[in-house]
Amino acid sequence: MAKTMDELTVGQRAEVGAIKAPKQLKRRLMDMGFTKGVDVEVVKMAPMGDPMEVALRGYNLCLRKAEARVIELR
Amino acid sequence: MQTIALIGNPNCGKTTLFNELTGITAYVGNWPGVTVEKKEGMWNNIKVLDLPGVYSLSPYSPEEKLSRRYILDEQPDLIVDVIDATNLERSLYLTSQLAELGRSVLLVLNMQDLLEREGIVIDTKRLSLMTGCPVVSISASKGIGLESFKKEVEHALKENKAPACPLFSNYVENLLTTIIEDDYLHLIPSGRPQRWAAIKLLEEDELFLSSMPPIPEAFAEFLHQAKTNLRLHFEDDPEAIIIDQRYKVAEHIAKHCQTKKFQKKRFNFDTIATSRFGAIPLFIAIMGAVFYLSIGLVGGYTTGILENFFAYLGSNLSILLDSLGVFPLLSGILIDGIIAGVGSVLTLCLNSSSFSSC
Repeated sequence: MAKTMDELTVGQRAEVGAIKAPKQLKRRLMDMGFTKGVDVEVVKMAPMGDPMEVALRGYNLCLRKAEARVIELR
Repeated sequence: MQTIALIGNPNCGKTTLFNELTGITAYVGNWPGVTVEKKEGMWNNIKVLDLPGVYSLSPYSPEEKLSRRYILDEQPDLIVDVIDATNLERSLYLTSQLAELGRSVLLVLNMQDLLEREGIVIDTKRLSLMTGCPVVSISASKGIGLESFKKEVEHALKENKAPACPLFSNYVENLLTTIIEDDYLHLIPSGRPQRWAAIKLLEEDELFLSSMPPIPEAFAEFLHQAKTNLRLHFEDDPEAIIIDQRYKVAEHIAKHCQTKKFQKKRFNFDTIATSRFGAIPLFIAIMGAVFYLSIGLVGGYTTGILENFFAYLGSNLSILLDSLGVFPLLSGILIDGIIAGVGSVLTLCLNSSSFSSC
């Protein structure tokens, strides 16, 4: 099993791999810039650990843990 | 009469620009997704349309469907692509889709005033060369650059030149060329460019396919084979491959047109206030301070005054009523009931109002 984005902690960086999600969510995440090989860094975590804020392509994006779970890393 | 359509990512300043142009005070909220329907206004005898904020033109979300259908069916004379200049790359991803629609496109770099603060410089000449669109810098909220915006719009309307389509990798380009050559592409409704249609066929775009007659068997077989080859070549599905190709174009353009002079200072109040361990203690501290201020400091003072006032009123009234020889039950209702009751309710009201005003 590949590591997924929800397993990262604040300050960790990784490269995006495949997205394992239904068509619509996959398209949405890719539209927001999660394409293969793109660099992401976890910037912040909410007090309860969900949602998380990640930086990619020069901007920051907030994601639910459930959404981060479908983004595989490599 | 000519029509221009404002489109761009959520929260990039479309509606601010729209209001600035038309003088209509459409509601601008500081969060994405405020414009769900399109709005119309007039500016210098040009019809201006404010479309909802979108990141893409996918066939899934209602805003994206609306924006896409509008541009394809109503064919505005000019697409004004409003770009949050501090977020060039992601904005250019949308631009790469707008460029394929066969309409002329004007790129508006908004929030110019914020660029300096972020230490970003954008080479607009180069951006214009690489995208094939005229580019103008403005700050809609400060009203800067609107004169040159007006000039560019007039110029673009006169020229009416479609921008350069983003070029994908050779493998995808060759495939698109072959698809365009098929007779089936002659059946696409007017206003839809062939290249755009070929991409939609590869993506298996539901919205597009439902607007088309059924695909003949031979062509369907060819498309199926092409998509299988694509999957093998890129190890992903065609829709994802196209997105990836678009982002590669956006990345390439952003890299060549944008320079970051310095890294923005990353530590500010938010760093503590929204951090995982700082947030809740800070929240409790602020609420505690508010409570202490309103109930303790301000509240203690005002409560004292009110209580004294009502006690004074009550005792004076009881002396007066006694001297008049009023029935004790009636004086009891007046003094212990009405005055004392209203007094304590008022005190409570004042306390809570000073609490909420804090």
